[in-house]
Amino acid sequence: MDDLRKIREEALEKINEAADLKELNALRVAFLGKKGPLQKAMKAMKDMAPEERKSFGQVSNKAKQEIAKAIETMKENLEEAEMNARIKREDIDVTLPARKLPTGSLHPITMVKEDIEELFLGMGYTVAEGPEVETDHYNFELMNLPKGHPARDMQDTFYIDENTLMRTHTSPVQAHVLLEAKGKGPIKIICPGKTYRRDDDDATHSHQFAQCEGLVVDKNVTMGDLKGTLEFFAKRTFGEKREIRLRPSYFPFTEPSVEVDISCGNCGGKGCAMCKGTGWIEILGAGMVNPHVLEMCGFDPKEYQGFAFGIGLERVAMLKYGIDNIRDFYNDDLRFLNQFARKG
Amino acid sequence: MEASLKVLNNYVKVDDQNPLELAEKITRIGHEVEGHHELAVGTKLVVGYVQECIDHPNSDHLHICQVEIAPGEVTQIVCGAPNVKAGQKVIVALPGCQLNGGKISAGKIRGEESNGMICSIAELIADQRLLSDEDKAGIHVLDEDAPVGEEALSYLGLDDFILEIGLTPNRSDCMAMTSLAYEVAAVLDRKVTLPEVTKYEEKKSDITVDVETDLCTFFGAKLVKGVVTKESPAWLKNALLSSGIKPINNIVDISNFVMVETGQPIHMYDYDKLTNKGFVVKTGFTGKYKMLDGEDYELLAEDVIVSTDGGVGCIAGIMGSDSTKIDENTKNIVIEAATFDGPQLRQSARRLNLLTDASQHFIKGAINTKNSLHVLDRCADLLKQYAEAEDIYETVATQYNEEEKHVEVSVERVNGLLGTSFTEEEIKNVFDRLCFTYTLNEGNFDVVVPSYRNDITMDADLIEEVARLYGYDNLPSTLPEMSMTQGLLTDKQSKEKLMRHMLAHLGLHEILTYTLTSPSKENDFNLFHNADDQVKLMWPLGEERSVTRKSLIPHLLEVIKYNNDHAIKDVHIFEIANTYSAQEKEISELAIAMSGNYVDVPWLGEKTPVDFYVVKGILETLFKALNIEPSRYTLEKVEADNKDYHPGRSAYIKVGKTIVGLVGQIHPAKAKKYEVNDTYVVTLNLTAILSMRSSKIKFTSLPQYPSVDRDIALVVDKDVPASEIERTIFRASKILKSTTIFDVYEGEHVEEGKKSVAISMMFQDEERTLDEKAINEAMDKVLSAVEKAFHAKLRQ
Repeated sequence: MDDLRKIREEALEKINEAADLKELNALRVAFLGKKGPLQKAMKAMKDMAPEERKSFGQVSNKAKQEIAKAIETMKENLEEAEMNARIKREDIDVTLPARKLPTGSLHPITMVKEDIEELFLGMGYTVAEGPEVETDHYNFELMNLPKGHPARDMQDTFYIDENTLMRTHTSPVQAHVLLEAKGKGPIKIICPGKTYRRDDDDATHSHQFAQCEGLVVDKNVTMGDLKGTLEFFAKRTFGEKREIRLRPSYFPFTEPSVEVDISCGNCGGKGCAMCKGTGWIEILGAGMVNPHVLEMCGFDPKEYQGFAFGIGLERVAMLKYGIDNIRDFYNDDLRFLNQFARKG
Repeated sequence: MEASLKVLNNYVKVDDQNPLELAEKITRIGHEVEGHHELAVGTKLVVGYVQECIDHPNSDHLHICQVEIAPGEVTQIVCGAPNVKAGQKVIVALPGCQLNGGKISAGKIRGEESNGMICSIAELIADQRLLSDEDKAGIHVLDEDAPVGEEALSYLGLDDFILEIGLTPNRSDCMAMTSLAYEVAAVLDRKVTLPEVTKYEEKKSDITVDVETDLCTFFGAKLVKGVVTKESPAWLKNALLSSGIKPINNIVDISNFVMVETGQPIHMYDYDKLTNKGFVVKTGFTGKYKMLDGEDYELLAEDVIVSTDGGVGCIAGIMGSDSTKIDENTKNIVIEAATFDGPQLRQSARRLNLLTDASQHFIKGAINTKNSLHVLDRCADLLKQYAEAEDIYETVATQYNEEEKHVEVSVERVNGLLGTSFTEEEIKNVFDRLCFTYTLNEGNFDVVVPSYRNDITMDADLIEEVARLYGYDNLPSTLPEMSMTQGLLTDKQSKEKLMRHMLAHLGLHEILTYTLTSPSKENDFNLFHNADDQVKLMWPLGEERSVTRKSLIPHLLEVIKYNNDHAIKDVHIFEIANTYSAQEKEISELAIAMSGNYVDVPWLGEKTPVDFYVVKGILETLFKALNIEPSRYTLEKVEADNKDYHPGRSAYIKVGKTIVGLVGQIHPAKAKKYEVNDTYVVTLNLTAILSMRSSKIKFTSLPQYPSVDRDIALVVDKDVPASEIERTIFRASKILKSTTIFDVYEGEHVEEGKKSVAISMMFQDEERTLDEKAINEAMDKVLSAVEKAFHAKLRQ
């Protein structure tokens, strides 16, 4: 029994002095292993009287448990110390540059296009597309711009031959969609796409630009619906505080036609240099689909009516992001593009 | 167009209106006032009387004048004008007066006190083109009875405010001030007063008119004899100045003024220069003809001509001939008022470079033909009043029978289209204000369209009248109530969107470049279009943008160069756009171009330069996202003599036998041409790829039994593609689930012309745990398959 006590004390003492896990492990093998002193002492048990064996067994078990527990505790302590040492060793300068993952960006015109798409998809519109190299018939005639109409002046159009041209607006997509529908509504589409005009490129003009056409045709679509829709678009795109105003205008493919102004975001409508003192900025053209257009595209104007609008995507992006030179969109300077590598 | 408020005031009272508020009102009914200006500027301008004028002692051209600037108030002004004299009434700019040239202040001129300036008209009117030589030469001398001290601009009638209106093409009729007056009257709810025309006793005319082309719908001519050419009265000159027209003499001014007032261009012929007094409108003249500006013009057969004496009397609506023109000696005039075809006239005028004010009226279809006879009477009346015309002759004209135009609209239709709830009264009010006549029957208006309103042809046009005069601010704001429609992108659209977002997340920047390109780049990198199929513009803005592109790559390379030039070396970009040819039409393409380092962490010394395998990785990631399995396509090296792409490092992407894209490096020669460094590209024909059916996602349950890995190294000929080896291995055994190439080696210990490819294989059976025997059997199959296919040997 005294041996046991001695072993126990020696073990506990050595365990407490263990410098590292390796030493501790050696102690575990030495004291608790098969060849350890406890095992050795216990071998003597088989010669003991039952009484003695019982109490010897209890003491030796207790000693064993205590040693095991001490090892466990010490192990935790040593592990913790080691962990702390490791943490200290592994200290880094978190302000050094990151291992940058490549980050790209969507073009701002795409961002504006997708925002508009999302907004109108949510209202049940589909996105229609059409050819950019278009026929005179679709681009002009079906849009109520017969040959000789002043608004289709040669200066403004890139003709490829007498009957083929680079489309000057996204409106011909209206004609494609209406004709495909064979006179049966409802039609509810937007048509984003590239358009071309014979303009010299400068800060405010581009021979290539992007538009988004909208068209809703059904039996009871009203001009009030057009106003409400555009108001929704303007507030969602530019902010809840923005107001719109409709001014009478003229487009051959709509009647009545309006120009739509949005209250100036720079001055809040009070008038500043940006809005030329008027408090309003022109953003798009719209109107009720001209009955002739409906008729030429196979819809009965007595039964159907609708509205259409055309938004200039560059114009929206310029107003939304404060870009003042339309050429920036086509130069593709990465210092420009990088500014759009995030949700706008 | 320039609308003078003074001229407008002749037809509707506007002189009590604030000009800017009036401008806003006019804008809000659809005639955008884009700008405005005053005819003459100058605040402190008065009528003065030159009491005394002596030469300046220290100058050879200055005069010292004692000028009465208000009754009894005399001040000294030094004046340099050669024509200043004592006893003249003049325009005096007092100190503080702001003129076009600057501010007038009191001071000394060569030692003599000067308290102001004596002005010429040129100093008051900004637009110098409108001025006569006399106006520019010296000070303006007023009538003797001009009241000293009176505000000079109003005395001269130059106190006019001019609105610059951008008329919409449908309302060109408003080029006529009377027509604009109806608009203004409607917005102000006032009456229009048209000028009274005195009808004189007319003599029988000997002139004849005839029209032999349907490009002229009306031709009227009126003879007026005994006119006297002289200077126009002030009101007439001022009216023209305010309308942006230079006054010439009373005869010319009257014809111009009548056009401003009525929108009807007037042409005048010298009656005495005509042998036969006949006018024939026809086409078919060719050759050079001298016109009244003294220049020769080449006519084509389609040009509409007013023929006199068998020759060209006038290019219809554009310019009269030299031989029939009126001059200061003209006594007898034939006045023409006609309606010519706009589109033809536009073509002729453009070709001859003679887009005159008058021709614009025809081109824009603004002529109120029904009023033409009246216009001729108005001319005659003015010639009688201001050119001492002696005899007025009957108008000779072709037949013109236009029926009264009726358009119907109902209250219900108005509200149905606008979404409003106007009453019959409110609609009536709008038509009344516009001076439309109508009959009303149970909510149905039958409107008689005034002859000057060419734009109104259907009910929607009348509804617009109601909407614009009532004001769009008062329109309700609603959303369409209609049957449900599905707001969904098409499969192609959502895949395209996915690709854009994916590429942006992979570190590429989306760019936007022009569709139009130069013929010198047209066929570079072209994969999907015929080389000699060119879509060329008829009138390009320049060679650089004269054809449509057949590949996106050239413009991507230009963007790389642009950024390189701006010290940005790592450029990773993509664009999705259409390419074009007559035969293939529009093909939607994706192009990726990458140059420089894909990954660069300088302080860690980590760099991944872009190479073939980077762009291939991007391609595979895209295909995986689009659910295009590797088994659906193959890569096949481009031709050895390919001029666009590096033959050793570029491969066509093929689906079956069709090329749907390319992945590789641009040819070094092309890199030189476009001045870029090594650039790797991907091009995909999205029209083809996105129309492929993508395989459905089908779940397979996870394996129950463990897998076993085995590695082998095979020695094969150098040119055996690794993918072929993998494919062969993969087909050899059913329990082989995946392969990974982990080393490719050429050199020492490997025979010349051969390479060693090390492949790790993963075996797995869904039914059981694999034993050694099964794996060895599979390995044997693999080895014999590669032996058979490539004479591959296990590397020792």
